[in-house]
Amino acid sequence: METVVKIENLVKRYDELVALDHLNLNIASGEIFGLLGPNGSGKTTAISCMLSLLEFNKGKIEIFGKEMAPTAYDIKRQIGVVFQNVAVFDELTVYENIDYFCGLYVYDKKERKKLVDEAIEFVGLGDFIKFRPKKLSGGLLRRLNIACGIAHKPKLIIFDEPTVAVDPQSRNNILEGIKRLNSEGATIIYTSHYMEEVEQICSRIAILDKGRVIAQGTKEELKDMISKGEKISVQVYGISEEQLAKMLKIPGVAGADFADGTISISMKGKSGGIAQIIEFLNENNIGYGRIASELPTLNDVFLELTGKTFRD
Amino acid sequence: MFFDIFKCRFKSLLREKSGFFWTLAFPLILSTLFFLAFSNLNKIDKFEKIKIAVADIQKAGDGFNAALRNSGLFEVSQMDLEQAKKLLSEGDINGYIKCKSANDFELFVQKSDFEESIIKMFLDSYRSSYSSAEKIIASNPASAKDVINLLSEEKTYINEMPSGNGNSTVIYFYSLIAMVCMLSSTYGCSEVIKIQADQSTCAARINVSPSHKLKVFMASISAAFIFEFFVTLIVTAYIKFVLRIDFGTSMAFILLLCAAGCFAGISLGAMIGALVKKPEQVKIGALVSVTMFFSFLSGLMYENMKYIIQKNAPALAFINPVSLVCDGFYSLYYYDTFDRYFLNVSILAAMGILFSAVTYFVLRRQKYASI
Repeated sequence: METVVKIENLVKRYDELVALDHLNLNIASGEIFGLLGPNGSGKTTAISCMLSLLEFNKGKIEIFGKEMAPTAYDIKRQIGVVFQNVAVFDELTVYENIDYFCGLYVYDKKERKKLVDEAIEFVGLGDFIKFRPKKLSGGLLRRLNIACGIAHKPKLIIFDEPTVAVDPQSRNNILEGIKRLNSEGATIIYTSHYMEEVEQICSRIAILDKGRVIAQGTKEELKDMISKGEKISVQVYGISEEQLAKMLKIPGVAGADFADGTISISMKGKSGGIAQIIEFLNENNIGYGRIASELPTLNDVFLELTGKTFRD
Repeated sequence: MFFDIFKCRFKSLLREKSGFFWTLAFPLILSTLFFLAFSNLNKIDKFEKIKIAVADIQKAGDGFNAALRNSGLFEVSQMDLEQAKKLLSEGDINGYIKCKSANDFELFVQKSDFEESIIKMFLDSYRSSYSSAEKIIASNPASAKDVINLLSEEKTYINEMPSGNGNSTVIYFYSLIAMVCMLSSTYGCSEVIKIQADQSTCAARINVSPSHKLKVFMASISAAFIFEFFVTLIVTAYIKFVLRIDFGTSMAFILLLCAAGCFAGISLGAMIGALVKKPEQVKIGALVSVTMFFSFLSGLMYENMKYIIQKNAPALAFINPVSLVCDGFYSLYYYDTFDRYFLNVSILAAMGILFSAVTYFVLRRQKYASI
């Protein structure tokens, strides 16, 4: 697959603080690439360097096979950015805002009008085109922000934490919209510190911590990197110490505890163990109620790789 | 692209209520207040003759009568005492003089005001002159005729200023227009902020676009210039046509000076916005400090400062855009030639070009250390 973004050994320092520490990324065409990391991990800095907004100390950035620079207008023409903070002019209406920002990319008025109308339809702001931003709700404002970033139909769209402070319904709309843009052919870079969102939409993910990529791959590949596997909880009427010790001998079981009428079983790596556990319970005449299975999350990946959770 | 950006920015400026207040409403209010305050001053400046009545003038003699009429201070009516009393009580005259002899008068007034003080001063002056004359005649009788002529001849009490340049209050209105021109510097600064990616997300959006940011800036700053120039025209038109303040005959020159002032002001703001690499509030703070300092040196706050600068550091007046605008107006009003006016307009235009060039070199290919 064609490489859209190639970042090699990118270093960005703010005095003593190393914001990006030899960052390497390769993003292929057609991907929804997630940049996942806690606040301050370097996601927005990486995006800003990628867009030539920030100077960096070392490294190389190529987009669409060409070196990125402030004057690389042919590259910039193919990029759309949806910033974390809503970036619109308060004095202009919804239509005028989209038209203004689209006008920075598309100079032909007729073509631009068509694109602006399509963007308005895409984000569902048709009833609000004459509204000023201050009259819009938070969710509608986010939609306007997206429309301003994508109206010119870019090939590469960067979403920098677009769902921060957004209600669940608007968040789902935004995520669905991103999937639609991707299905229409756009390569997406999606930065977030919400791992559920990244898991939900991204085809490949890079986890950042302290300006470094600590892991990169599909969500399955990332979860395979850690020793922690599936966690199975079984409600039982009772289990003896002997039976619990016997359970530990089931292949793939890493640990088992009993407390408050529930056995908590940790499986190793990719081992899928729910069938074996049920078989064991039946063989040993252990009466059981509800069985729940919990797969490892990206937070578990982050925890195992860094020794801390996203919220630390 | 240029026109589309220009149109959007112009619309934004028109819809920006706070900016509209400070650039348009505030100068209009201020000019109206100036007008109300100075119209009283003008009334005082224009001397109107004091209405007085004189009773028994034959007792004072022809000399007193002639001195009264030649003073230019009074509108004199001769009548009997009863009639004079009646006119005074009805407020038709400021006072009446009862003549007892050539050097003895009684003054009757109803209040003690400016006009009444003038009548009293005149009588005191006449008495003093008469006594001196009496002494001179006593010591040298041959000079009697000359002394009597001297007493009755015209004595100048009021000094008329040359016509046209007599209304000093017009200077305040010129200063006000100069202030409006300099207010445009905030728009210059604000347009720079709008394309600096480290200042706002909108600016970051402009920076990631394929449009050359200096082209975007040129379109935006042109919109700001046209907007500010129109605002200045509205203020000037209001002062001239509504308040009916006389600007002389050179309205076209005033407009040219306004345009040069707005250009210099906007480019000064843009340059400060580009040079100060700090947050928006710091940039605006620096701009306000610079323009206030220039205004202070030009005498907008302390009138004598203008003369202190002229005396001790005249070159300073030529590098201060506020002074250049004010002096341009002064020269239009006071001088018959346009040499100084055109010099000031040229310097303002050159300053605008210089400030714009500095802004260009600072902004081009600008990347940011942090956002």
